[in-house]
Amino acid sequence: MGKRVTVIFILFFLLFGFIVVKLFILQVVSFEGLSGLAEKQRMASLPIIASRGKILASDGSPLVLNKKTYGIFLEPKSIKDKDIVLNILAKELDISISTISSKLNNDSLLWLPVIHQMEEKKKEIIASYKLDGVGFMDETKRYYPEASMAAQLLGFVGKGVSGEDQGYFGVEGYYDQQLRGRDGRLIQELDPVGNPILTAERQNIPAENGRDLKLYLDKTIQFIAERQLRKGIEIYGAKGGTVTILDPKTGGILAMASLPSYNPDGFYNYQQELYKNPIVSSSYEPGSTFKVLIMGAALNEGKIKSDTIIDEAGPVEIGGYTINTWNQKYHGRISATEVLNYSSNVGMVNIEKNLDQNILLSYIGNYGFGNLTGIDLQEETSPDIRERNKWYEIDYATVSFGQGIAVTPIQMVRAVSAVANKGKMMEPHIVKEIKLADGSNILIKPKVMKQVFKPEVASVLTEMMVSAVDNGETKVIKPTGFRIAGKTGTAQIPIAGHYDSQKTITSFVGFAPVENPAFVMLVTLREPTSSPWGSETAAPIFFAIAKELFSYMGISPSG
Amino acid sequence: MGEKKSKINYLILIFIVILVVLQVFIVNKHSTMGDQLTLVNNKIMKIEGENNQISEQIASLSAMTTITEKAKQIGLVSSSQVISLARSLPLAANLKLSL
Repeated sequence: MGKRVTVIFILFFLLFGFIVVKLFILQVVSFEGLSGLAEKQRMASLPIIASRGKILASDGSPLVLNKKTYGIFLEPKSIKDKDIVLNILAKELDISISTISSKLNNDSLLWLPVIHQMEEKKKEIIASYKLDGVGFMDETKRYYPEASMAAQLLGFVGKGVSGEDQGYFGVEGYYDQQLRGRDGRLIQELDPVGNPILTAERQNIPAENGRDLKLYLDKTIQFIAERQLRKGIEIYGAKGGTVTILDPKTGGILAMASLPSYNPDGFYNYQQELYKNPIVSSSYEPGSTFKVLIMGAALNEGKIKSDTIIDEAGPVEIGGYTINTWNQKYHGRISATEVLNYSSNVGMVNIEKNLDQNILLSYIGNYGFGNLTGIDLQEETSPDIRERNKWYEIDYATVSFGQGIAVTPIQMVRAVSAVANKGKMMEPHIVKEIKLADGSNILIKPKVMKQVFKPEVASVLTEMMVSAVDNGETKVIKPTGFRIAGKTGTAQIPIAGHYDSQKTITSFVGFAPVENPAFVMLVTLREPTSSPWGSETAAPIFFAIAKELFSYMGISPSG
Repeated sequence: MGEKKSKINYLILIFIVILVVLQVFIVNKHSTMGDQLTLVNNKIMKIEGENNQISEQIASLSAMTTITEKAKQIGLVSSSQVISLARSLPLAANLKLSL
């Protein structure tokens, strides 16, 4: 009897010992691994998607918003009737059945995306079918209430290398990091039905939404500029054109229109060449508009005054080349002001001769040519200016009337804005304010790049530009009652080492009202066919826009 | 004295038991309130979605092309004649005065 009890006791002891050892292994030795597995089973980690920042016009109205969209996914193993699902999706989404069915045949797939960025109405229609194995995921898409307005200035949002939203070109590209924000994460314990357990472990890392950007851009001015440019391109038979309008006091861009353009909602349907903003990324020879800047340099250096007499007796020979006036007319002895009125190449060459060549080159540098302007757009480029030792006498002569030098429209309008702003050249800017998530704003302060002229020189040069408008080729088309400072430009297009005799880029640059300039504007037209001259193509577009701006801005005629 | 001490101990024990029961009750109740949180979250998402839709509609209705079309429909035209009651001096005249 005693023996049996002992045996049973030993057996129980061994069994108990086995259980203790097993518990020790599970709870001590394998603790980390098993507790990690358990946590994985009961804890859920959900991403909190940050919304991309909005882009607002100067009045706070939206130019770019986020719109809620949906993606559809399939869980092949949960689909009861594949044919019904395929037919309904094909019908509602207008895609071929074979596109989806080929992927469904892969049994190893647990999850299969079908379509992205679908509108809410379509989602509700498909959801109403209550199809097994069909699910929806929240997505967002950029929404442009103004359609293609300022498309090249705004840029667009595509996908990055990891499939995340990424801004390309324009403001979306330049400010991508500011607009993007930072996703958050919610880690919480869920019950078997999927509801959170409030008393259990919970970790909330909030998302930081992208910052909103407020631009200097005025929607009305942009609308006026685009409408008039579109009309002008059609009337003058041009291949394209640009309008740049900026506030000379702040450098803020009030409008930036270029055609042809694209619709950022569906950018993939357009040629990639259209994505780049030509105002900051393409160059042209400025032609006679550049005369204003050379004139300014000569005035600032004290080499001439507005009434200094300049010889315009006939063509000028330089380095084996003959320089004529644009219309083969010569007026003998004329004032510097009349050189601009007549847009005389010969007059400008004679003015340029008064300027030391090094000083001329330094002014070209002071005006910012050959360097980026610093504008906050992603794709800005700058054509190079030749090195000093590659300039010949003929080059100094031709640059005085804006040929043999390449500039971008933004460089040109910024340089002329110094005339409108008492000689101070401002850094051009698209964005005025960055709005933070906490409601505070970061103001981007206007920045003076350089004092290019003395203020009194800027005043004299302004009057000369007013005279060029009132007495030059545009005198019959300028709006009456308003004093506008401006200059026409017509430049031949260089092709394969020579200038094309037929094709031109026409332009007009100016500002108004001269007493207190509210805007500086540059209009360029590429290869107009109705006339090769700036006075007959770009100038009328400038004046048409200016007339509407006077009315919109409440600017009274000044006589 | 001993009896009094024993009564106090007894009361403390009852108090502890009540607290324990209360804790179990509250924790149990809160643990199962997750469905209400889910409902509230869903409501928040729904309202945020409606807000976004309204913002889109406002943006669309106040777009320049929409306003231009509406203005045309109701017969508004752009003003071509400007009548100004205020006139400012030419720039050169201003310079003369300042000298």
